[in-house]
Amino acid sequence: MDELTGLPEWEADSVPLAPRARAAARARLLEAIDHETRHSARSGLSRRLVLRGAFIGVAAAAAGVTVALTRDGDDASTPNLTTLSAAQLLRKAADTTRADRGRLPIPRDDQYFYTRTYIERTYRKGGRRRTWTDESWMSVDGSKPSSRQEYGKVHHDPPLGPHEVASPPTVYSELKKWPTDPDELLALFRRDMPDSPLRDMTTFSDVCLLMEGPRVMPPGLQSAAFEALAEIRGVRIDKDEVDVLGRHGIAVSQPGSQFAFLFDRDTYAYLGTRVRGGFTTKVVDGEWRKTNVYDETRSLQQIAVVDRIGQRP
Amino acid sequence: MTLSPGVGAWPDAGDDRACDSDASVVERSWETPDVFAVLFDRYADDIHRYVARRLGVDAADDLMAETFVIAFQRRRRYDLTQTQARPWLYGIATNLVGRHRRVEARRLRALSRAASFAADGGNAEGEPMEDRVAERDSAERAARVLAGALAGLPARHRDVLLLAAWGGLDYAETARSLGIPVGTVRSRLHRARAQLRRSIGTQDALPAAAPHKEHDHG
Repeated sequence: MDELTGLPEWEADSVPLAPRARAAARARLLEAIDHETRHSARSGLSRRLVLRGAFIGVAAAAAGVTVALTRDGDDASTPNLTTLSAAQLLRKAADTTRADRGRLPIPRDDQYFYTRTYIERTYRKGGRRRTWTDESWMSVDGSKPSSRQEYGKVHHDPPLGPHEVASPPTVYSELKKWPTDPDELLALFRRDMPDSPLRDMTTFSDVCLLMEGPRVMPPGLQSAAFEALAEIRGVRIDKDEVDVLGRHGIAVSQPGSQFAFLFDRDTYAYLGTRVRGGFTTKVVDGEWRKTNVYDETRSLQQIAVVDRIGQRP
Repeated sequence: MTLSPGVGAWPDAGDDRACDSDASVVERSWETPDVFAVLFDRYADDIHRYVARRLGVDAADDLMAETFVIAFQRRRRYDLTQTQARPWLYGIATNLVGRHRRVEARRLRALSRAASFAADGGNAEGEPMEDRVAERDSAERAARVLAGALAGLPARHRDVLLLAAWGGLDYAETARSLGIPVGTVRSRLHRARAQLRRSIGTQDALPAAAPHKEHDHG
C-alpha cells in the first residue's frame, strides 16, 4: 500500500549503524546493567529471601531516561497525567503496591530485615548535593537490638522496654496488627481529632512518618496507607518534577506539609518520600528568614530478610 | 527476523541464547540482567535504521542507545505473552522520537525545500540535462516531495504510518507499541495514507517509476 508513495524505499540520508556507534550504544546499555547489578540484590541465595520489588534495581544510569507521556499531538488515548487527580494517583499507586507486594517474604521472628535507603539532599541555594546510603538491620519482632543507620551514623537501638512504645511502630510484628483497611487506618490516624484543616495536615504528616524508614511494611499496609491519603482533603500533585534514582517521579503533597510522596510517573510505583527542610532561621535585613533550605528525597533501594546483623543479601 | 516460536522456553544453558524468544530473554533478564544485551544484538540495527530515517544518523546513534537503556529499565513491565520485543522497542524509540518533533519537522521541511530548489534551479538555467542525471534527480525529487508530504502529517499519524512502513509492524503490533487501540491504528493509518497520497498527488511530482526504484541497501 505504501509502495505507491515510495515510502518504504525512502532512506533520506541514513547510513548503516557504524561500528563505533554500536559499540558506544552497547557500552551504555552494559553500564546501565552494571549499575543496576551493583545496586540490587543477587538472586539465588536460598536462606535469605530477597525482595525484588518496585524499589529494587531502580538505580538507573544515564541521564534523560524518561519518555514524555504527553505528546504534542495530544492524543486522547495516550495516558496523560495532568488529567489524573492526586486521589486517583494514590489509588493507582495502592494497586501497584498491592501487586508488587505479593512477593514479600514472610520473615521469622528471629530474623532481621535488611534495608538500604538512598538519601539525596539538594540545597536550594547553590545546588550543592549530598547523598547517603544507609543500611539498617531491624529485628523482626523487636526482641533483639537493631542496627539503624541514619545519615551515615549507625545507631544501635536496644529492644524497647516493657513500658516503651514507638509511634508509629517500627517493629514488624507490631505493624502487622495495624488495619489494612484504608478507612480503619484513617480513623486510627485521625484519632479523636475534630474535622479541621489541622486534622488533615496532622494525618498527612503521620502517614509520612509511617512511611519514612527504616521500616518494613507488612502486606496491605502500605497500599492501605495510600488509599487513606487519597481521602485526605487537599492532597495534590506537585507541579515540580522529581528525579528519583534516575526515575521520573511525581510528588503528591498536602498544603502545609513539608513532606511529599513520590511515585513513578509511568507505573505509579512508590519511589519514596521527599521532604523540604533544613531551615535555620536568621535575621536578614531586619527580617526573619529561613535559610539553608533543601529538598531531600529518600528511597528504599532494597529490602531483604537476613539472619543476622551485618549480613547482606 | 527469525525467532523461535517457543514462548517462555527456558534454555538449559546460556549458550542457547540464539534460539530464545524475546519474551524469554526479557524474563531471564529479570534475574540475570546481563542477558538483556541479547536484545540489543538482535535489534540495534533495526532501531537505529528506523530512528535514522526519521531524525538523521546523529540523533539515531544517541536515541538508539537510549531506547535500549530505557527498555532495560522497564523490562519488568514487559508483557511476557508477547513473543517478540520489536513492537515494544519500536514504541520506546517512537516515544523518544516524539521528544524531537521539532527536529523531525525541521528536517522534513528542509528536505522538501531542497527539492523545490533543485527543480527551480534546473529550470532557471534551462540547460538540458543528461538522462541519467535527470532520472536520478527525479527520484531524489520524489523522495523530497515525500518528505514534504510527511511533514504535513499530524505527528500521531506519522508515528503510525512510519511504524508500519519502516518498522514493518502490523496493526496489532503498532497498537501495542504505542499503547493505543487497534481500531485507532487502523483509522490513523488509513488517514495518513490518504493524506500522503493526496499531497503527493497534488504536487504531481512523484513519477510512476518510484516503485521500481532500485535500492542497494540491505
